Amino acid sequence: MSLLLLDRVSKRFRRGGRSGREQVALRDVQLQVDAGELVAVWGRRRSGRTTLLQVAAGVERPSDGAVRFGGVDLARRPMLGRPGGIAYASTHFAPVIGETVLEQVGAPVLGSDASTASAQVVAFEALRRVHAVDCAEHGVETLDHDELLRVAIARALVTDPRLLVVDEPTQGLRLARGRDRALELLRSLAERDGVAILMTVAEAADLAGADRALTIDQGELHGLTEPAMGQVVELRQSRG
Amino acid sequence: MRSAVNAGVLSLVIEQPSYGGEIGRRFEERYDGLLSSRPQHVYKALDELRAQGLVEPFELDDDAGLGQQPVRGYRATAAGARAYRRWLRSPIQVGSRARYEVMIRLASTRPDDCQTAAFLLDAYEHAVLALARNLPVRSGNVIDRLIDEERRTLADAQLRWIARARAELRT
Repeated sequence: MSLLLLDRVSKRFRRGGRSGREQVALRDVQLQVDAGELVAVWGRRRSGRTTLLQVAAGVERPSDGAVRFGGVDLARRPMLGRPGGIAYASTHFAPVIGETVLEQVGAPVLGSDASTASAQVVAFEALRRVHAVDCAEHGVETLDHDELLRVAIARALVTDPRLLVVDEPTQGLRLARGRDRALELLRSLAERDGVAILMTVAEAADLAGADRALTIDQGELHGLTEPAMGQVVELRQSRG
Repeated sequence: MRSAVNAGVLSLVIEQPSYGGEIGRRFEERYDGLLSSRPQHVYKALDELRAQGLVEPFELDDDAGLGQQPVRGYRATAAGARAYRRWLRSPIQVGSRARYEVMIRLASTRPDDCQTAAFLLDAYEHAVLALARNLPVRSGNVIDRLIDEERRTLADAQLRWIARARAELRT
């Protein structure tokens, strides 16, 4: 069974104005993602790429079809932000959440029974995983693009997700070195930690090293929408 | 069909049965930059296609405006039409020659055959994505970086073209 399954998913938005015309963002999308797989989707602006991620993560509900995570329909049991569920790495940080990176990164676990101290321990460990410990005591507004992405991923990791969704991770990274480091980080999360990653990219260069590469255009997904049969998957020792 | 020239000539005969010279002229227009269009290649292809039973000669009438002498033309046989359809839809191997293979077949596709065109775009995209996925993540020296950059730029252009082509087919 796939970790994530988008089963004939369509998404329509109603446009504003008198016409009330519908805009189709996703058309009959079929997609499977397995545990530990890095799937990259290339698409232009307004291709439906961001909607694809939002629907896959459960941020948006599909107009038709179903999204299943571990076999369970996200409409019945949302998994976004839940331990072992889905995480959406966003580089938007609300100032009201906290002044430092450490506070921002630890915030998602504060909703449970975790104390501030234990949330900070979890946040520190997440920052270590993404090589951003140096940022811990700084304000988010002082970070450059490279650091902001790492901190966004760290915040996504605190719930120990099985699926990480990232929209254009290399956006704003002008230097090739920054882009390479960002992609290496995501690959290592998939390979080393077994976190499945679904990401969108705007440049073919960012497809390098992905387990599967697809394209999206006018809401239609193209390419190998399910893992290749007969793929050899190396067994990993469980953590902890 | 192994020879791309033979396949191209066959597709032109299917499109419009004609005599060798006229097929050669259309071949040059259609496959410019993709296939060598020297007349001897086209005539050799017609001979081979005829030997394989994929085209057959017939007598063109005078309406073609070619003078008093009857002119021998070529038309496709049923086996030729089948071979043409099989060739268009046969698998395309991922690799550096995939673009060349796709473009020849696309040039050989009838304008109303959007299904085959879509199949070829899928195959092309599959090849481009496979190459992009396998590009090195970190480049070595300056020459390696330049070569990788050229490949990435090309892959972006190819993916954008495929997206535009799909949009064109939808309309």
